[in-house]
Amino acid sequence: MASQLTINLEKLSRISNTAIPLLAILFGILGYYVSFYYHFLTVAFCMLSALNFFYRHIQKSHALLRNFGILAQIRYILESVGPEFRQYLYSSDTEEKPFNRIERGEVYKKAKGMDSTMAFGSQHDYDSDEIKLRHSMFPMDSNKVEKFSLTFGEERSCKNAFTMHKPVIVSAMSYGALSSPAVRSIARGARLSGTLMNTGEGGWPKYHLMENCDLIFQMGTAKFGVRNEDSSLNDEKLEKLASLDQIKMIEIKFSQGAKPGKGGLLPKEKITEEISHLRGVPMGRDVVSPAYHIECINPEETVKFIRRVQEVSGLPVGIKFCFGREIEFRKLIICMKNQNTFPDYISIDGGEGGTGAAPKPFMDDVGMPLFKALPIVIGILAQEGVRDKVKLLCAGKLINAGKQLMAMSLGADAVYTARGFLLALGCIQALQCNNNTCPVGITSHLEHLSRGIDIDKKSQRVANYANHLEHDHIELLSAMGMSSHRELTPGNIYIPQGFLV
Amino acid sequence: MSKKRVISWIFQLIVASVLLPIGWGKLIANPGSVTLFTQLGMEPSGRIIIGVLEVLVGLFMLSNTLSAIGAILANAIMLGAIIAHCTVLGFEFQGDGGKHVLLLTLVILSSLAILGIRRKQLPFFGKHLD
Repeated sequence: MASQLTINLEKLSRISNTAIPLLAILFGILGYYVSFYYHFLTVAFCMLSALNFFYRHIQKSHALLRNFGILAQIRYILESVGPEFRQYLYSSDTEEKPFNRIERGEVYKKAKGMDSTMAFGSQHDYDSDEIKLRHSMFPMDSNKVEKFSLTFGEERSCKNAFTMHKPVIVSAMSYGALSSPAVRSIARGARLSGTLMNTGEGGWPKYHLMENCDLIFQMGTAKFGVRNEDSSLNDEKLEKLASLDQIKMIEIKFSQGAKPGKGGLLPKEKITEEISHLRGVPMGRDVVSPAYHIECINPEETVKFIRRVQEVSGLPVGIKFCFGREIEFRKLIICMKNQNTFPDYISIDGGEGGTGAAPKPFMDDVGMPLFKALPIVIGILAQEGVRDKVKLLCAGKLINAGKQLMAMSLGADAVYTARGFLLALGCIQALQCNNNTCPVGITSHLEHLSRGIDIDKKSQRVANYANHLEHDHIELLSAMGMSSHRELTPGNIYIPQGFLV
Repeated sequence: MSKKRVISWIFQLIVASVLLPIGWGKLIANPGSVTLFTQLGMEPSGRIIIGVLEVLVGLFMLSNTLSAIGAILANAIMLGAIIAHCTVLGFEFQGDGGKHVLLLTLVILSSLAILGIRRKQLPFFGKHLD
C-alpha cells in the first residue's frame, strides 16, 4: 500500500521538464487560433522553459537543479524560509539555541516590566544534570539583604578605585558590532539603572560616551583607539582616554569565549566610514585583530604590560580571557606573585560566550565552558594564595538571576552579560549579527534597519531589565538565607556528578 | 555607487523612458493602440492590462530593489509583443517603418542587461543564477 502512495519525484520532474515546453507550444497554438489572451500563458511557459533550460544545461553549480530542473527549486524555496518557520511555528519552547523561547521570553518580560511568573511547572529537564541553587529553610527578610557593592583597585590602594553597585555589568559590545542607536540605548539604560558598561574593542567609544554612563574601556589585541601603527600600545592615547571622567576601568582583552585564540573580527559589510575612522582601519575588507597582544609574548612580559597599563592609566585594570590551559594560567599567576603585580580583576569568559562574528570551529569547538572553568580558576588562585588580590568577573550565557547567582556561588564577584541586554533591547535572535542585516537594527548600520530602535523607549527597557535582575538577586539571596552576595559559596549550589569543584 | 550599478541604471532609464509613455498611451486609449488591440481582438481589456503592466514596469525601473523583477516582466511583455508581431501584426506596423520593432528590441536588450547585472536580487531564483 505504502508504495502506491509515494510520489516518485524523479518521474515527476521528468514529466514537468517535458510538459513545460509542450505547454508553451500548446498555448501558442491556442493563442493563434482561439484568442490572443492565451499568449499570456504562452509567454509564462516560454520563460519557465528558458529558466529550466538554463538550470538543466548551462549552470553547473547546483547538481539538484541540473538533474531535476525547476521542480528542484521547491527545495531551495522551502529551505530558505525554514529558519523562520522553525522559530515561529515548529520549534518547541525549550529547543532553540543559544537561547530558547522561554529564556528569551523571561528577558523580554523583565525589560517590559511585565509579570514574569509561570504556571504549572518548570519546562526544564529537572532531573537532568543541571546545577541548581540551594535554598534555606530559614530565608532572610529581603529588606535585610545588603545592597551590592564591589570596589576595584582597593587591593593596591589605587587612587582611582571604583565601586560599583550592581552585580551585573553590560559585557563588551563595540560600536561596529552594534549600531549607534543600539549602543546609545544600552548606554543610556545603563546610566538610568546605574549599571557599569564595557565598551568593547571598538576604538574611541564615541557613542558610549554620549550617554554619560560608567564605562570600562576594553583594549583588544589590535588596541583600537589607543594603538600605534604596529598594534602596540600608545601610552599618550591611553592616558588621554583614561583621563575622561566616564572611563572608570581598563580591561585588557586576551581572548574571548566565542573565539578563543583568535582576534576580534568585524566583517567588511559592517565597516562604515565612521567606524573605519574611529578604529583607524581601512574600509572594504574584514578587520581581523591579531590573536595576541604584541607586548605579551610570555607570562613575564604580560605581567609587565599589565603594570604598564595600570601606571599609564591610573585606573583599575582588569584582564579578560577564555580559560584554556591550567598550567599557563598558573604560570601567569606565579609571575604576578614574583613581580608583585596583579590585575585589579580577572574576567573569565565561558566558551559559550556570544559574538558578532566568529569562525564556526572557534565558536563551537574551542574554549572551556564557564561553569567548568570557574572552579579551576578559583582553585588555582586559592592554591597560590592570591584569591584576595584580584576580583573575579565572569561571562557566558548568564542572562538570568539564577544562572548569575550560580556563577557567583562558584566564586565570581560579579557577572557580565551582553546578550541579556541585547534581548532586553529587542533582539529576536535572528542570528544575523555578522551580516549587517539584523532585522531589528541592533547590529546593522543600514539606516532603514537601525531606525527601528527608539533610544528613549529601548533605553528604558534596558534599565528595567537591569533593575529586575537586581530585584531577582535580592529575592534569591533572601530565599537562600543570605544577607549579601559575599556569603555565596559553592555550598549554596547543588552540583550533580560530573562537575569539578 | 559601483560601476555595474551605474550601467544598470542607464539601461533602467532607457526601459522606463520607452515603457512609461507607451503604457500611458494605452491607458488613455490612444487611437493607435486601440487599432492595435482591435486587430489582436483584445480591445479594451487586453489593452488596459498591458497598459497597466507597462506603466508598472516603467516605475519598477526607477527603483534599486524592484528593477530586477521589472526586467523579468519587461521581457515577458516584450515576448508577448514579439508573438503579436510575428503572428498578427507583421514587422511594419501602421506605416512606422519598423519603429515599434526597434523599440521592442531596445527594451529586450536593455532589460536583459539589467537582469545580467541584477540577477542575484531576484527572489528565490537569484542565488542560483551564478
